[in-house]
Amino acid sequence: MAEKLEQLEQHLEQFIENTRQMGIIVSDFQPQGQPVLNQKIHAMITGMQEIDRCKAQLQDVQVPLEVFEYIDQGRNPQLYTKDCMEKSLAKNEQVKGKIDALKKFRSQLMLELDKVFPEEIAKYKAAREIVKEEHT
Amino acid sequence: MAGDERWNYGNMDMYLPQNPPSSGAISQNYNQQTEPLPHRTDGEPPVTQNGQATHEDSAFYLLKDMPGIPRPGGPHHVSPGAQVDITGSVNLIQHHGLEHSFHKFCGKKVKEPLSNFLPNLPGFIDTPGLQDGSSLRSLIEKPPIVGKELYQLSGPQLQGFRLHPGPIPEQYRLLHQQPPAKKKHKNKKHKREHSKTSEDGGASSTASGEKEKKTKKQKKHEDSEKKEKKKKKDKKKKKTGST
Repeated sequence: MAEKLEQLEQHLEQFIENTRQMGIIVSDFQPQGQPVLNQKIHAMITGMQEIDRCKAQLQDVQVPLEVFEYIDQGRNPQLYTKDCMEKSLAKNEQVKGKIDALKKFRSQLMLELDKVFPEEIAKYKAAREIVKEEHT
Repeated sequence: MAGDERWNYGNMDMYLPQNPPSSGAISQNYNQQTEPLPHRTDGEPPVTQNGQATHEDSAFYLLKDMPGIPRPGGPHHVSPGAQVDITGSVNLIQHHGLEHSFHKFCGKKVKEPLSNFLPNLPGFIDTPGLQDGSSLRSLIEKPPIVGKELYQLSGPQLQGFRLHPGPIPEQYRLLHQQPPAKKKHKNKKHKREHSKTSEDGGASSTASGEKEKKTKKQKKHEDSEKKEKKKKKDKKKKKTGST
């Protein structure tokens, strides 16, 4: 996959460079530059053909739409990756906090229920231990 | 009163199940309503005639499986050697082996402009795409015509690209301009260090150039300080004027 992306990247860079050179020729055109311009047009069409061939190899590549918003704003797309990682870490911590709070609540509830319904809690604990032993 | 017939539970018996479950998980009447299982006083689950403990027939109705430890034969049965479900209590970035990526993107400072990601691209790429109609969003909303084959242009077709000699109008020249090359301050620092340690006489020309740059920087800093002081004075005047 990395090789295919590198190949596409090379083709795109060559295409862009060719376009830039055409822009230089056209900005101050001279008659002796016509054959060179024609050659550049040919190179542009072959570049487009090569990029079109790369398309088939990269059908399974998926790009999130939010990255396009970053690029359209002129921002580095790596900032999107950074933001995603930071958000996932924050969410992970948030969920961990909820899990820890619920675990504490469960243990506290079991303590209090043991005081009020000792027989039932004993049966419940026995049932859970049997399941644990069977699972291990 | 009309409607009292609704509350006559005697007529509803035909619709009710024969062994209605009790509300809640704990009920002392549950065993009386279901099949009569031998009642145990040692706290262990009831045992069937086969002698095996049946959890499905335990005294706890709606007893859900513990996370990661399902009941055998249940809907989410997992073999004993299977991996426990991953929850948010685990560091998921570490679990999926993304520590290196995390430090790469979040540890170091990632530069804001797009040109830092694509330094070799010509032209101004840091400007928003909506300004000049080159946004990727417009490409998704209005996709171009694709699927047609690309052919090289023939001789007569290339005749359409014969141009007149001379420069292009000024409004189109800006598209072709390159942004100013970014000066690398790190190299300058190294140069300064080398200039100090190496020859002192030969460094006079570079030192004078550095002095000029220093004076320019000092002037810029002074100008910015003056502007900030003016802003503060204006704010104070407005406050005193309002009171």
